[in-house]
Amino acid sequence: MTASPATEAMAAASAPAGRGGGLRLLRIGALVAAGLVVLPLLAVVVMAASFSDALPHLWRTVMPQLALNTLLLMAGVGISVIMLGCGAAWLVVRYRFPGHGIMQWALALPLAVPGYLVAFIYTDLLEYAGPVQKALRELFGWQGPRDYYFPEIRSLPGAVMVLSLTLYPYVYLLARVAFMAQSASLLEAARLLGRKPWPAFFAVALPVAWPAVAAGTALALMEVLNDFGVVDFFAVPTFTAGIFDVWLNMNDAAGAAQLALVLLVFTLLLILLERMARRRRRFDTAGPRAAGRGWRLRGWKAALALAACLLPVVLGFVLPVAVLLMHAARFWQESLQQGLMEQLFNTLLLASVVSLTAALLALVLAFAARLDGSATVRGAVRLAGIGYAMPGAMLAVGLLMALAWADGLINDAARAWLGMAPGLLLSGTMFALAHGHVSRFLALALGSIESGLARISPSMEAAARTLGARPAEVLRRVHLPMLRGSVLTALLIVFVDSVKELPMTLLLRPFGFSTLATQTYQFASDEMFEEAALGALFIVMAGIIPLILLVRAMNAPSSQSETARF
Amino acid sequence: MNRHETGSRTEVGDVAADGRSPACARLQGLDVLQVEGLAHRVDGRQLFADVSFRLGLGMFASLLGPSGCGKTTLLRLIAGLEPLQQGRISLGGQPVADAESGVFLPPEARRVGMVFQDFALFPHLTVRQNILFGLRGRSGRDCRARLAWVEEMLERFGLAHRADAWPANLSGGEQQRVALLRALAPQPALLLLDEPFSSLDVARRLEMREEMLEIIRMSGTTALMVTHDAQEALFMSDLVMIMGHGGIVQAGTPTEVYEQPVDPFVMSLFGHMNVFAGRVDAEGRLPTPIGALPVPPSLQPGQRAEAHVRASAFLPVDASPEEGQGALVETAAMATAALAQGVPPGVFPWQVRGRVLSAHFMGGSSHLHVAPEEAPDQVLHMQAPGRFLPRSGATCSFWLRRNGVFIFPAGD
Repeated sequence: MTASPATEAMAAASAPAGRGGGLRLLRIGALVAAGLVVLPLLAVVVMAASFSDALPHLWRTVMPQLALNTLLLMAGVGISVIMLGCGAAWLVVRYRFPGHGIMQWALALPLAVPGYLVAFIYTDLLEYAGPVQKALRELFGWQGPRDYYFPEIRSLPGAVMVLSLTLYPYVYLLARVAFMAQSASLLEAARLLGRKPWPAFFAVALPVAWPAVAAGTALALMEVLNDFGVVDFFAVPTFTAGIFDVWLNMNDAAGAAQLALVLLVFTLLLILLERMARRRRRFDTAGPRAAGRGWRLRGWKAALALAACLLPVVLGFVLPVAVLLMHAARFWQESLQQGLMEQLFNTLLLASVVSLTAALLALVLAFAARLDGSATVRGAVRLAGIGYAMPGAMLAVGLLMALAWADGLINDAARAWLGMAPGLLLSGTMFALAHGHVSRFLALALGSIESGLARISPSMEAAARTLGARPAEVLRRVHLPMLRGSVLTALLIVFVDSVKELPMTLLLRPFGFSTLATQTYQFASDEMFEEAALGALFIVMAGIIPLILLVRAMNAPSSQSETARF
Repeated sequence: MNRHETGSRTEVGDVAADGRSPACARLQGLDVLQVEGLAHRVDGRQLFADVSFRLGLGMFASLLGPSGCGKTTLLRLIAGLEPLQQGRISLGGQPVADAESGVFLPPEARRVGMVFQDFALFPHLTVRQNILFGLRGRSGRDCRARLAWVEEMLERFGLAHRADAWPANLSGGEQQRVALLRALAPQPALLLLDEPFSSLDVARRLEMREEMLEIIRMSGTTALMVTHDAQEALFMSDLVMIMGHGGIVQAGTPTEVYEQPVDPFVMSLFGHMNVFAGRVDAEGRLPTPIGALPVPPSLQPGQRAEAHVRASAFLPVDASPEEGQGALVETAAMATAALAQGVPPGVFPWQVRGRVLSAHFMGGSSHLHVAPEEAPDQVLHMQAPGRFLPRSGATCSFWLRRNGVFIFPAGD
């Protein structure tokens, strides 16, 4: 019984194709991409293991304080973002009040402002020499610091506040999607069984949304581990700050590697906790009557709801941007004189290179996974996605060590074969910087492209194959055109994150190369923040772009997967 | 256009005759649910107006109507899940919502239980935890009594071995049983059911109807069910309220609403109808392709009227259709002759002849499309009992049952 050509082709299309030069190339590409990301991690592990003498010293002196600060910071920010994010999401999903439509997307605005900018701005505002305290002193006639009590912004609680304000949108966005996906009848059933509104929320709505809330909190806490600008400015030594200190000030490579290793352990624990929180509860809560419309609030209740939503938006976005605008208006000429255009150019160049590379690698990985379902390729994809969880400082340290080692090899080989030493080819170059950025942001591009690819059903591939197209042709003629949107999204997201990035860039940049982010940090450290305001505004403007994408995705009917990767 | 229906004394006789719950016969003075003058607007459109009814203790009532008529909204108003725009709702004599005086008891204070269309089982709790959810805050002895009741119910309805499972792992029928037990565990005064069977497949539905009814009867709870399935409403209810055209069109026992529909809308819910329009002639009959039908005394000669004939009103004359027996009988002499031949009881004294266009076997009945001899371009829908599948093109004769024909004045 001979099968028709159509069925044969269908069978071939659905079976993992093991042959073909194109496929082998894809496989290699996938492994290379994963390797690029994993290289810094491996380097950290190897280096830390080989320097055992500095460890006891570090443990006794520096480690306990770093660990304590990091843990306190994570705990404080964790609790704050859960309260802020869940509270805001609940108000916006379950109730209706004037301004409700705007608040839905406005609550995500603080994501556009990097934490370090908010730190600089609030320090500027709230420090002793700043306008707020000056005004208070004038108003009440106080002469000096002993006459009154004003909370010190440059402290651990201050860092918690600043980081929470910029990171709560991660929890807000994911919690919002989760609450919307819950059938409204769940909460109604709880109320009809005797629970008042708030007890019903805690007994039913929150537990069912918990996996999403945990995912958002994990994202926020990863950013906390990654942050350098805030903790450095506020003098709250965390692991990342410790790495900077040990590496740059004490020139202690081994110590930095060990700190980086501890940071890696922290991160892995965090990922594990988040996986655990998500795995136990897989709830399919798709009910025929989904969210329904919210309960209309009137009078003082509506005003209270609106105020509760406005507060984080004002503190986390409106106020900082207003301050930046004010400073930029007064000091833009100084900014230009200090080389703003060059920094802008550098930033854009770096971000373009990084985003294009990341998108390309993500395409390779995604296609390899699609055409070749083998464990190797799937493993490669998983590994490549780890970079986002890894704190930038850790990646930088690992990368520098790996590249220094590679440089050493090259030099040795060159000396042996060519009789000359080319010097540092890889370390301290744009290549290193771009590599670091790509390692960290590849996961974002991957997320966007993978979800776009998932929307292309396998039957489309099968259809193309039965019409005579070979695998590579199918990719070119069917998938790529359909992925245009996802690729664009991937480019944009990676571009923006690259613009905002600080810790890795500070450590990896070539001599004399500064981006908008590093320059802003430099100026703020030198108490010249006003002159950096214009550059900072550019960063914020870049940060708003993915938010526009987000708003469009939020208004589209069924796009829950899009919001997960912001 | 609604009848103010009391769940009480006038019902007793009918209820007993139908053989339903004797509990209804013992009526207390206080109604469990009293709804007065309810009206509701949505997006500027008036959904319904002036809806009033009462339910007595132990009664099972249905709200039957097509989608969009507002029956689910009505249920949600009674539960307190929607704010009341107009009217008053009282439970056990106490007003729980009154649009004029502003009284509004929140859902958790109303002692009303509800079974949702999608069951709404809490996915993060086990079956047992779900059922016990509403029992928080009870005193020791009361609590123990309810716990015992829950265990007994789990045992009786085959859920004891699933008591620690997650809702997602249960079948549709099991989930529904859990949803019902959960709603009944706190002993609510009133149980609301929102199209409880629509998520189940057809075979499950029949089974679950019986089981649900049994559970509810055993607990003695008054129940109000919303459905668009007429069979369900007829099977389960003591009182059927037909909802449509912005209000309650008719309320009565299942027999009443089926055999004495007040208008064509009510009839249309119970199956396909054949409609014939015409003018009442001088002898008080409405001429139609299936015979001259006697009209009720309220219709005057010359008035426009419509005859609505149930598909089940046609009875095949005999089972050998090929021979095409009988002819349309009009004169009295022929009627006597037909009677002498043996006319079955309850039918008009003539036969309807027609050509069979198609016949479909439906199991318990057969559905036919027949072109009547008197008007070959029209198509009659007939539902004959059992298997009756004449060849396409064959000519057959049918008796016409009197109780399947309803004549209404035509629209003005």
